[in-house]
Amino acid sequence: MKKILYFLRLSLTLMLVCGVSAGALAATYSITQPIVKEREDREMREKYEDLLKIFKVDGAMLEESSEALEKGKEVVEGLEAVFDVSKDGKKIGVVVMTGSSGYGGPVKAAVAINNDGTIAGIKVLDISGETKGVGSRVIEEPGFIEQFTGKAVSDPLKISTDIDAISGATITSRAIAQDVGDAAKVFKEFAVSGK
Amino acid sequence: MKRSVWRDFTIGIIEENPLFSLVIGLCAALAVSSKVENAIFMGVAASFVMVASNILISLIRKIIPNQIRIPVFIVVIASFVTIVDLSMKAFFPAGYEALGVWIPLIVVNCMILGRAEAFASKNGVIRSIADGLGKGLGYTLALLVIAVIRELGGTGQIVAFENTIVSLKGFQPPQILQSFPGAFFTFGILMGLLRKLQRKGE
Amino acid sequence: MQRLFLIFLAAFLINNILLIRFIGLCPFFGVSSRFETSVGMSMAVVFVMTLATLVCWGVWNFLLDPLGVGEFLYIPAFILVIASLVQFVEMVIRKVSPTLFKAMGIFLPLITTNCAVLAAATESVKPGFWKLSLEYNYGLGEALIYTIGIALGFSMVIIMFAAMRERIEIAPIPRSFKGFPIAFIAAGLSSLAFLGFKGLFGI
Repeated sequence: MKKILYFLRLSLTLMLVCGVSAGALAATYSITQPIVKEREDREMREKYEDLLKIFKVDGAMLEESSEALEKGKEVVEGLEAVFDVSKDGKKIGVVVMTGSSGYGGPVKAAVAINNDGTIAGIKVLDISGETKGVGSRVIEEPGFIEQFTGKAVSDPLKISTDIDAISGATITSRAIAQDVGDAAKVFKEFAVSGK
Repeated sequence: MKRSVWRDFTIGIIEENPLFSLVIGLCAALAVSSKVENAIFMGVAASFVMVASNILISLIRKIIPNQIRIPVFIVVIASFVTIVDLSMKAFFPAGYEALGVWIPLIVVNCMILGRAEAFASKNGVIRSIADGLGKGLGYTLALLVIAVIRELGGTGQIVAFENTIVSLKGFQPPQILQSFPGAFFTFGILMGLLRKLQRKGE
Repeated sequence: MQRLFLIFLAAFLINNILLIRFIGLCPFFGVSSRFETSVGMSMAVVFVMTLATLVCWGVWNFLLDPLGVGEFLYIPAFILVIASLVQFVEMVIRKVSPTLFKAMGIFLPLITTNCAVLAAATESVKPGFWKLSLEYNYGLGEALIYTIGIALGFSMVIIMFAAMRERIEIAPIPRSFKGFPIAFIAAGLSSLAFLGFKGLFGI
């Protein structure tokens, strides 16, 4: 009997401790969650605005196209999002967010493509896996990214024949070109023909 | 002989430095020390958890039956770690992103459970706070030393909280210090040198 | 199938938990000084880690996530699962197989505070911690493959390293560097070798 009581006491204490801890954590969560949510929303808005900046068109609007994303994922593995860009109700192009493997992790980029199939601009979103001072030069060195601007997506855009790679950072350069090629694929296959 | 509270505090900084002398809590120390900023985040987070859990454990040490003390300690520590995890996500998103899985892993940092078991469960609140602060400070300082060497040596500058604090001009940084092997080298060599110094002092 | 293999390889070699990610270093330096102990530790880790991910996967998918409390209770929940699992395994092995208990028994309590187990469970089960460029669907199969990859990667390195340390022990080294410091430098060199796997198969 005494033993049973003792075990009861043990488990009750443990349960009490767990209960108090769960309660405290739930309270903390209810405080921090709105802040996290607000920040995430704000980051989302900023991301949208940043993407629009690639187009250099005033008053353009972004709209996420889940349909194109779903279809696009069948041909491009790292596809993350497809946006339709419109101005005054008329579609002027798309932004494709996609990623491919670089040297030490995913290399993600947003590629803006005009309706006529020329590249409006590229924004590199994530190269955190690349070596600092080597792979990171694809964004630090002006001129590398600009090489793509204005090119038609029907061009092959191959590194070292059509596009000069950053010396020493061939893998990262190639990953960016791969992103652009993937975006072009999505553009050619779905984004236009659907409309 | 009873140690003074002040002694409880200072012993954690050099003689019983968690990293260099006791060689515990290593994993996080090596992984986050490539940047000074991350080292500060990690040091502060771990110190907070240690002090907070030390306080609570020393408060409840008399009412917790001996058999279940380890699970209770674990729950207490895990709760404080979660509080840090949630607060960092809300208030320091950059630090949260950079530390990633290392925040939940503070829970299994042997240093914290070790202090709870070896010190806070046997001593009063004031002394437990002193012990937690001392060990936490020792840990943070050790982290900082490694991080300064790795960031300054590996990138030629220290950038923390969006300010460039130091920048070496005309210095071609050996990037290996930034990479994973560099962490092992830095730590091993530092530890060896520290031992040499300590032996000379004797 | 191919993706499972890539996940395994990524966990086993390319992002080796010890040499590339520094997770689980305490037991690594603690037990790698002798060959037999490192084998015992490896067995215990492979065993507990796989079980822990299995149970944590269930806890997350059937309990925490459906109840909506996963976001703030996963740390206590996972660590308690691991701690009780270790106790349970210890009891079972002691009863069932005394020889096995002799081989890995003393390492079991150490595993509770082995960050590698918690890391493997968290990364493979809870969305938001998976950081490789591979796609990952958080299904049970992938979680298990990932964990087994981590566990075997841990074992391979720790056993390899124990063999190395036994030789370092008798090498002429400055006195201040004997023991831990030289072990760290040796680990650094091994880590350098492992960096060579980076980018393999585009992972």
